[in-house]
Amino acid sequence: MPERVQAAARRIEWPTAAVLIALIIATVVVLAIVEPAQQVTVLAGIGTAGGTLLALMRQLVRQPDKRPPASSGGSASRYHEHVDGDVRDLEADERDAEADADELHRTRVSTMGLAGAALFGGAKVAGFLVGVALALSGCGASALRVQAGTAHVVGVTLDDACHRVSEARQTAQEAARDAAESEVASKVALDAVRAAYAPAVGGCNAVSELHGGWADALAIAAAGDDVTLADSIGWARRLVVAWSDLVPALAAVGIVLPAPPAALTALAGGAQ
Amino acid sequence: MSAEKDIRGGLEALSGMLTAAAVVAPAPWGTVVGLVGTVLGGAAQAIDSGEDLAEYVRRIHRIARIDTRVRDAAIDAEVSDPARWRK
Repeated sequence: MPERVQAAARRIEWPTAAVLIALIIATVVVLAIVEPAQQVTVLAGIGTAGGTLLALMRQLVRQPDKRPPASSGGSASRYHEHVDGDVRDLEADERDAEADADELHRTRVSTMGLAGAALFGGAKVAGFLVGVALALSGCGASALRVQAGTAHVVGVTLDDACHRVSEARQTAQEAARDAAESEVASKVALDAVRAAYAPAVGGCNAVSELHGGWADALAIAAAGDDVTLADSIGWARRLVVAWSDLVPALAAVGIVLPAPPAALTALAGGAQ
Repeated sequence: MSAEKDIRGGLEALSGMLTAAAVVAPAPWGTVVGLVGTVLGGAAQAIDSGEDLAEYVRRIHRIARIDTRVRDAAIDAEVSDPARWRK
């Protein structure tokens, strides 16, 4: 392994380490002050928020790229140089630049794919929490308050993180637009940025649906109402939407999601 | 409830300070500090103030979906405008 790669592998990512330390402190605080019966719920909430936050952190705290995204350099300007310069050298440079751009694009897609996959993990935990909320709909007011508090903190944290993803995506698009020197190059660069951010956007939207389902379940439990068919249809719809949101997130890491279960789509479509 | 009020006040103050510090912190710390400030602000709001359970649940912060369509359409229209590429 080259020395440079080894050095990079040894380097500590301090922002990620800071989040990990905060999560450990939060876990210790929960174990110390929350009643044992409610610890699992709170820790699951912290796990959901923490796992998703860590996944997003890799993309959010990356230093700005030194180079523009793939193909945004504008091939037209390079060909102008051919007139006066050494054509062979320039062709070699062009190939190197394209290889670098491809590598950069693959790295971005891979990073965002990992973020999307981890978001999927967070989404699964959130889905589990919806199940927990439903199963515990007959639990006491104190437990519901703890769940509501956890859901609120998870909501605030992930909403802010997802908002930052949205802003980072827009900034990257504007940079790609400004760096390009032709309409075609601009469109290629914009497509590359959108592909790179698709997993994180899909993951955020999936988590949004599942968290919304959790909050809805808590609202029903807090009101002391029975779960109705309309509620079930609402949850089924959320799951179907979350499923479709996860498709791009997982495609980036080579996982092809099967179609959602027919019973789920039938239930979701029942109210349309 | 006075202990809860004190904790809430402390968390809100800390959250405010971190949010302000995030603006001037160098990258990538601005993002990290801002997120930590947001988490603390959320935790402060989540502290039970003894209100009605239904109201407490109603205040749960929802995660907004990221809708890319409007912004993408605007930027697509911009790059498709021939005037942009006319020298």
